[in-house]
Amino acid sequence: MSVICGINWKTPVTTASGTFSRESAALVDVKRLGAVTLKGVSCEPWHGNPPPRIAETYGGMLNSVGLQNIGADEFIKNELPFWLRFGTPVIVNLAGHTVDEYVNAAKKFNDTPVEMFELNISCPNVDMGGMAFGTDAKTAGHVVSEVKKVSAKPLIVKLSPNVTDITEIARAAEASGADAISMINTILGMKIDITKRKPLLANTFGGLSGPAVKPVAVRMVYQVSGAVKIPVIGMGGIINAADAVEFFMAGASAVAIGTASFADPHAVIKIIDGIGEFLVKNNINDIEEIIGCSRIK
Amino acid sequence: MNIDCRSEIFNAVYFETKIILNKKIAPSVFEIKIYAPDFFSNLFCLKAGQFINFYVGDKAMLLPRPISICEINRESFEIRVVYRVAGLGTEIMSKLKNNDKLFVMGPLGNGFCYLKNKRVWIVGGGIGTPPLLQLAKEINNSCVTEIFLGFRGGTDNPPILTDDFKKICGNVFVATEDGSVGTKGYVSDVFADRKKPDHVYACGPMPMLSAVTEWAKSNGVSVSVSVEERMACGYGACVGCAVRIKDGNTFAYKKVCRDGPVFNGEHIFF
Ligand SMILES: Cc1cc2nc3c(=O)[nH]c(=O)nc-3n(C[C@H](O)[C@H](O)[C@H](O)COP(=O)(O)OP(=O)(O)OC[C@H]3O[C@@H](n4cnc5c(N)ncnc54)[C@H](O)[C@@H]3O)c2cc1C
Ligand SMILES: Cc1cc2nc3c(=O)[nH]c(=O)nc-3n(C[C@H](O)[C@H](O)[C@H](O)COP(=O)(O)O)c2cc1C
Ligand code: FES
Repeated sequence: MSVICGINWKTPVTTASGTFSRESAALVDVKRLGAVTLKGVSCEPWHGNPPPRIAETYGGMLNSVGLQNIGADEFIKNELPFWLRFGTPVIVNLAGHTVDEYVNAAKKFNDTPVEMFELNISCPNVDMGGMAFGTDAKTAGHVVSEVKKVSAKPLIVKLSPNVTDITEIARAAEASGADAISMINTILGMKIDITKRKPLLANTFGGLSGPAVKPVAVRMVYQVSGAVKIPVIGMGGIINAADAVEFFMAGASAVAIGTASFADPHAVIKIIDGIGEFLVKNNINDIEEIIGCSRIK
Repeated sequence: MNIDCRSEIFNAVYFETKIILNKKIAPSVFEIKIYAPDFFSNLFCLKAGQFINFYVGDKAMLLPRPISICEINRESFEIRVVYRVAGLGTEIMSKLKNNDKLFVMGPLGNGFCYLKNKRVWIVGGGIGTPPLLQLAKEINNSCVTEIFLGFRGGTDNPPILTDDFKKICGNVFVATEDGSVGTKGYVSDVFADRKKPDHVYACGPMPMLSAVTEWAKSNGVSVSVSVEERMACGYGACVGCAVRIKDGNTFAYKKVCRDGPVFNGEHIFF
């Protein structure tokens, strides 16, 4: 068992926001997850971006979904009850265009039984807000402290890799009251359709995820876990247990599985099982023993 | 007339299946038969118009390839699909041999609504014709059916599956753009002066679906179309496969993989 910000996780593995839906819950036993992280939700419904929104790339994929969601009110009424019945901690991913929108989104979920908030200041696919908050230490610190003031739940802050120095943003989030860091969100990328001589995604740019981003994610988790005292939830390209173990050794207290589920809908369970097997095989009693063990002192 | 039989039920299964047949049927076009008893657990949810995810890739190519169900054999638990080699994924598929194993997921999406005692047209274009074969099998006995199939023609894009359709239905009309087979021109040239049906089912390239829907709207005929969009998961998790659907005075993006791929043509912004 792992304890993340005072919440008990059966296993240090959750789903990455935006990659797990009700259908996933029919394919995977949600009770086996440490926590279930849901798709980004904003105060009001968002349309999202025009299609095409998906482009496959070597060892990964680009998406420009743009946080299409039904809005907090309808989410709380029609979506949340489905997730609360498993007894697995629920993490709501909060999105906004402005500080007020983030604050209001958090307020709406305060009275629900969700266990944690994940503040998404790192989505590369929305014009206003999203990543704009996560790429500047001052703005990041401001939105985190404003949400923290009203938040009744532990607050995870999700960081963008599209920055020069991610430790600077992580420190600002910690100083502003973040209870944990999750990282990385997708890396801004692009694909060109050479027959049409045009960007393949209607939005021109999209966020890169999947195995292609893993080395970047591992490096950043290593840097950030060395720079802050709060726990880091690591993600970015994990497709098997060995990948997950790499993140633990880099300093992540837990990991999240995203794109891997698209390639194998059972991936998250296979990874949970595989981590267990790794620990047994290597006589490790507690995952804590390997968290950050790769650090060169 | 209810042409929307969208179901909330999600009963797709993910499992390893076996190739029983993989055969070239035209230039760059192949058919695969898989043995898939797992798909048959709920027969009401296994329908023409639904599709299957084929997990053909490795770590370099992550995403499954969505391919429509072309025929369902309820006795032998076999599923037939027909696909065109369009890139690396389908090329890998085309090299699979008998008894090769691969992971699949299905049945996915919402299929066509089977009408009864109506006059219907089935309109297919190019590689959009396969899903209409099972549809024709399902409704031919209960509806007066006319089938219109359009192809580019020539040696590279000859008509496909026309014999399969003719085995099911006596009224099959073929058109090719170059006139090499059947009528020269588009399918819409063929059906334009025939007696109006009660409903049109269509699958094919977007410009064709748009033209068929336009025709249906201006003739007061209802229409269901099956559309494609680039997908990541294929089962509703990523919200990647968006299609613009009319929603009152405005629009909403719906998921092709979960809300479709079959939609009321009148609701789509082409
Ligand atoms: C619901 C649905 C049903 C389909 N049914 C059939 C069928 O019965 N027969 C058939 O031949 N084809 C069908 N297609 C199209 C088929 O999925 C693509 O041709 C195939 O994915 C191409 O993969 P590739 O690796 O060969 O090509 P690449 O171009 O290398 O593929 C790269 C990426 O783009 C995606 N992609 C490329 N073309 C399409 C397309 N037209 N639609 C959606 N995604 C695409 C691929 O899935 C992959 O993720 C269907 C598509 C959808 C969405
Ligand atoms: C289709 C898709 C949708 C996503 N939606 C969200 C989202 O709503 N909120 C968020 O914080 N991250 C979102 N992400 C980012 C993932 O949660 C994750 O940070 C990223 O994909 C890296 O992990 P992975 O390589 O395991 O997918 C999304 C990613 C994908 C691929
Ligand atoms: S392809 Fe993922 S939601 Fe449709």
